[in-house]
Amino acid sequence: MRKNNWRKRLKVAIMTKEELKRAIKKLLETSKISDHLKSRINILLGVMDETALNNIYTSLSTEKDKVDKIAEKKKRVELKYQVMVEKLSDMKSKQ
Amino acid sequence: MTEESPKPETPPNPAPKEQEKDAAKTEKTAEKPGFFDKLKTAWDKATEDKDRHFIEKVGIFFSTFFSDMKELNEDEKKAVAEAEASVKKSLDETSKDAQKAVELADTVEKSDKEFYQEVLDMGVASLKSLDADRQKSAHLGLKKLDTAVKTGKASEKEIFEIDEAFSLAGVGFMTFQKLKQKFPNKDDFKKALDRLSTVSDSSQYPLKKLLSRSVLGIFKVDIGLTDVDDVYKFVSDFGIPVTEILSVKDTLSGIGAKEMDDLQRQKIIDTMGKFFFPSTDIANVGYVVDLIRQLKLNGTAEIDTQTLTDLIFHIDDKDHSRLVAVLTGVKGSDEEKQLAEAA
Repeated sequence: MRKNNWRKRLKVAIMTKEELKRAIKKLLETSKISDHLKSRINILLGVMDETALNNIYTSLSTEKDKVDKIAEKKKRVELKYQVMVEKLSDMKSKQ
Repeated sequence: MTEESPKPETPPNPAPKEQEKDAAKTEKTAEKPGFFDKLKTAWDKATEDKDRHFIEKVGIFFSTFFSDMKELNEDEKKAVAEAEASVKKSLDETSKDAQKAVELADTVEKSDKEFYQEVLDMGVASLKSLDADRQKSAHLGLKKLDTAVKTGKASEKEIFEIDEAFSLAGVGFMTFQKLKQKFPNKDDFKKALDRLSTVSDSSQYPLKKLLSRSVLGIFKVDIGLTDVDDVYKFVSDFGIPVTEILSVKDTLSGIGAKEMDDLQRQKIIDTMGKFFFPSTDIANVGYVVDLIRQLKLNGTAEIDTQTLTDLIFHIDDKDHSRLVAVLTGVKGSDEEKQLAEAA
């Protein structure tokens, strides 16, 4: 995780303002933050300074990483219980 | 000699193969019952056998599954909330100049507060798109406007300098243009203005007060000798030849005259159309001229939302952008880019 943060910071540091704006717009497509905040970002995106852009990009990409990981965990949990219940059902059916 | 064209070979009918595939698929599906089929079969058998252990075990599996999922959902909510808090902090930092105006009474509903915040952000985005000098002028102008709103009138000492008036008027026009981009339908735009007006009543800067005649008096620019360059630039940006400045000024000042014949009215419309609204339909220019005349003659205490909507929707977007460019230096392309981003 720490390694990833270091990489993320390095990536943000070498991105230009325009690249940051584009990356933020892309992240907004899947982000789960409120529509109000999405709308505010879109309104202010053109006039935000680099620090604000960096912060928003980092926040959104951290959110994406976390939400993606949680989605993977959900899939694994779903599969785990499905297999267990299926095995139990098989055993019962074969009785 | 006519050569009998060879009969085209009938392509092999793909249907049987497809059907075979489908049949195989169905067979496969039939062979392998799904998760719920398996569970149902086992459940039915357990019910038949009165096997309480099986039912209890399944119950435990499901409750643990839902509890695990609930925990993950909570984790997701937490991650989103953290991102929201951090994003909000950066947004508020960007629009900190307007935060004072955002302070609304607690009784205002959350959705109204959010709407108000977004409109203020449009204002901030407009202001920040100006160059450093004009931003400085706009800030100075805002301070004067602040005093005028608090006292309810523009004091003699606090009347705008020409650059303050240009910058602030430009910011105002740009903000309304952004709002129009969000609400391109005239009725929706009017509703948005009404909502803005009602919500702003609970703030330090009610829209009604901002658009009142007494406060707008601040825009009666005090033009000094040092402003000649600004005036000349303003006039030349609109394409008014130096030799015609006085005649244009005379014509336009007639807009508030008590008596006006058709010829004078037409002259004003032609002048406005030629220099200020070249892309606007001449009938709409006439409407705008009549509206301004009514405002001047009737001595209305404030510009209401209907009048403002009418003014904004009767002027062509190109002329609006041109006006903004002349007032603020923000060219159409920059403004369009921003509008596209905001949209």
